[in-house]
Amino acid sequence: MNHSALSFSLTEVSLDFDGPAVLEGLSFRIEPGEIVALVGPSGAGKTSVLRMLNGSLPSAEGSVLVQDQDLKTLPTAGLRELRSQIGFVPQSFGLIPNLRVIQNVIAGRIARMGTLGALRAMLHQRAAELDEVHELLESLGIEEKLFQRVDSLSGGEQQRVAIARALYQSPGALLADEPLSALDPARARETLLILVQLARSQGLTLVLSLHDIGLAREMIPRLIGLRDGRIQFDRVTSEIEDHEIEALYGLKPSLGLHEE
Amino acid sequence: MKNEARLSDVHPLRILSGRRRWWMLGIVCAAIWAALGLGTSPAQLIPSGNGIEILEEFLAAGLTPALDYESQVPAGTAPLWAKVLDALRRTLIFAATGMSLALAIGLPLGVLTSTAWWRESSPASSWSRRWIGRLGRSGAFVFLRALIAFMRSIHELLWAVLLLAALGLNSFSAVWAIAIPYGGTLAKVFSEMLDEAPRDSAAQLHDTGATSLQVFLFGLMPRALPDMAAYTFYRLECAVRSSAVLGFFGFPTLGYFVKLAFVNQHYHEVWSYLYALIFVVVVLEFVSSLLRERVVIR
Amino acid sequence: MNSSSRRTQVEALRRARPRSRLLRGTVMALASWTLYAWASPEIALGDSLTERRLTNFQNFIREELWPHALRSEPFTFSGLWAWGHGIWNEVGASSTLATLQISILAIALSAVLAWPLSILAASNFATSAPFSPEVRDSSRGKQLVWTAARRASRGLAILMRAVPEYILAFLLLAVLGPRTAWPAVLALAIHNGGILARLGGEVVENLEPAPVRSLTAIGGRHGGLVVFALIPLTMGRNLLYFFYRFETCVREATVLGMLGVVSLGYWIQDARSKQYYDEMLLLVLFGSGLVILADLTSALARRSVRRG
Repeated sequence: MNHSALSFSLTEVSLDFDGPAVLEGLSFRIEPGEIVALVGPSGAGKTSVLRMLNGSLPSAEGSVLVQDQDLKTLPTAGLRELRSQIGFVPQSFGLIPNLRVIQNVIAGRIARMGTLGALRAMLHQRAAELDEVHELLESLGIEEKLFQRVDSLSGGEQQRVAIARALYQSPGALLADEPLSALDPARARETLLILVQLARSQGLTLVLSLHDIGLAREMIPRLIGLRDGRIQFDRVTSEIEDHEIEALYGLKPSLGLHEE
Repeated sequence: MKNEARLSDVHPLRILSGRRRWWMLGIVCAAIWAALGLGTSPAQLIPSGNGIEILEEFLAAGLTPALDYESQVPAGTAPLWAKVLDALRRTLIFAATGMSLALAIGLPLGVLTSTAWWRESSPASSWSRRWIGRLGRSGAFVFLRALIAFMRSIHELLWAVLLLAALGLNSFSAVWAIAIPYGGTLAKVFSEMLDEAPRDSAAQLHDTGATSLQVFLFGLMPRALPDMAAYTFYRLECAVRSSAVLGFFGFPTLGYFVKLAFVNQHYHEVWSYLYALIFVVVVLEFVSSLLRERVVIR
Repeated sequence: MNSSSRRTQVEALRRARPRSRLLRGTVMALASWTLYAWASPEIALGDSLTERRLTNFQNFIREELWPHALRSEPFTFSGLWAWGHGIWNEVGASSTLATLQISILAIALSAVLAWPLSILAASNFATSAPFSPEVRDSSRGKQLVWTAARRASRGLAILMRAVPEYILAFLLLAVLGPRTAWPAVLALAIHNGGILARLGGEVVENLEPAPVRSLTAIGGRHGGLVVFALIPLTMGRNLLYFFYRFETCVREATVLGMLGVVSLGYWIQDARSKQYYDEMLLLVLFGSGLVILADLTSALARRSVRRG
């Protein structure tokens, strides 16, 4: 019962919080089922872009279209419906630490349940629900933690719970903000691989921000390079050259870049 | 409770800095003003007349609480320990009923007087309806806040006095006398806890397309729940004390028998009732500290 | 993995899930006691709502609570005002003031009582090597003394707060007599002192050890620690608790008068015994106003203290 894969497109999007622009004139399109990573130094605006894609951060200028629907003109109910199709893994996980893993994962789907149904699901899970969550956790390697309290888990385990919750939503697109930040290198590689394979096999759109440029170049087919709120490059990974990456992270500052 | 102390605070002169100094000074001045106004002097603390005898006798009796009646009782009277236990049972009955009713009042009122609730509830679509909604909501908000302030501004014993005058001596008066002010207090504290709870999980749930009600119930409430439960437990301890004191107004709780025994100068019996009360309060406090150690903080 | 083996695995995980027996037991015990309490014959709610009682209640609301001065005349606001103002001038003002003074004196005294107890009750301070759990070199005798002091102050604080103010005041009144406000002041000071001692003890125990240990490292012992670390570090939170208890002190001070000390409660009890319920209600409302004012002051003070 997965949702069909979503497309995103940004046109001339800008954003500022009463100060220097966070994002300036961003435009790109992500096709259904595409796998894209946002890369760039911290503060480049990766998180803002992701939050715009699910409508939790409205753009100041320009338009954000999801499935060719403009988020600005969408009524509340429509926005909610759209959001239920987008899985989001925030950097801070947004888990409920004093509840169990199972309840946190179940929470991913309550938008489709109605309030009483959600109450039932949070308090008492059906066998089928338990099996589904167990299988999901197994694919992430934390099935043993099914009934543990989240605050008794390590940071890496919590991060995978957050991923599991987003996947349990059966989304048409998965947006993940630094989903590997709390994992050790081996676990990070493995988890990214799982995410990419899942996206491929289920045909869902995957957009993530990554700080590990090596992993991104290795596994993600398309990279969008962001620096100071502007797109530096947006291409198939194999065509991106080393010097572009170095410029992105400011290792060899190319001064002409900001004068456009 | 986390302490926000930092190394920079460690300076002996910090005690005299900032607003704290003025509040300290204010407290000292206010205390002097109050003592002068009341005309109290430490000299009056020396018991006069037979006060000192009563004090000595009463304190000495504390070492040997009565195990049996101090005066002749008609044959067939239940033994003292049974009477103490029964008074304790009645005390706990009024505490439990009053407290559960207070919870039934305080929880919804607490939710409705938290700013978090009104923020989570979704705005209406059209411009005019949004403004009418906002006005109505702020009106309801102010009204409910005033209501809970009023409920708890009157002490449970005064509610008891009012209810006694209106309804006479019956369990209804005792239960409501506890439930009204405690409901107000719970509501106030619950609303503060809901407002102070971390919002990250609520925001995340909102992102999955959950409705405002769902976000509140499943994103915000669970975060505040441990604190709310701990506070309710503490108030239960208070309710036991209040219920005991209601006995002074004729309800058959511990206070009634304390008063009776004291007036009859059966000081050993007084202590039997007092120890029963102290025992329950200490047990409740012990359980609550254990719970906080093992369950809430991990 | 096939579905049946998955199910057994889930079931095994569920059975092994961490559970707190203490929490479960407490919840069960409280729930069953509450059910028992509502079902017990002592709570005969049907009995409360007999027709006679309801008529009495209507009577009470419609007539007895109606201001005396207005019962024989048509209602005017000036009449209501004159009646209320009269009672305020006669007894209300002076006893409201006395209530406030009793609570202020009591809370100040309770802070004085609580402060040493709170420090002595803190397990990280009241040991032979304060804030240094790893130090084990001190003599056994010293440790015993500190442990005894800690236990004694904790026990005393528990006793102080376990007995309600009202009962304390009742007992003290017999000893000190009703001539002064002391019975009420002392009763409030003792009970709140016990509560503040526990809260203050928790503040000391929750102190971050690092800043304090920089002082123990340069040879600070108990006395030095109190002056240079405990007082400055705990002052803010202790003030918060102080104002939080002040609010409840005012509420209680109103009521203690019913035992015979001249606070609002004295006149409430007086009106009650004369069955002047209109006057009684008005006096209760004076008290309510005072409590709301104290509440606002306390909230203001706490906000100001929090800001530093």
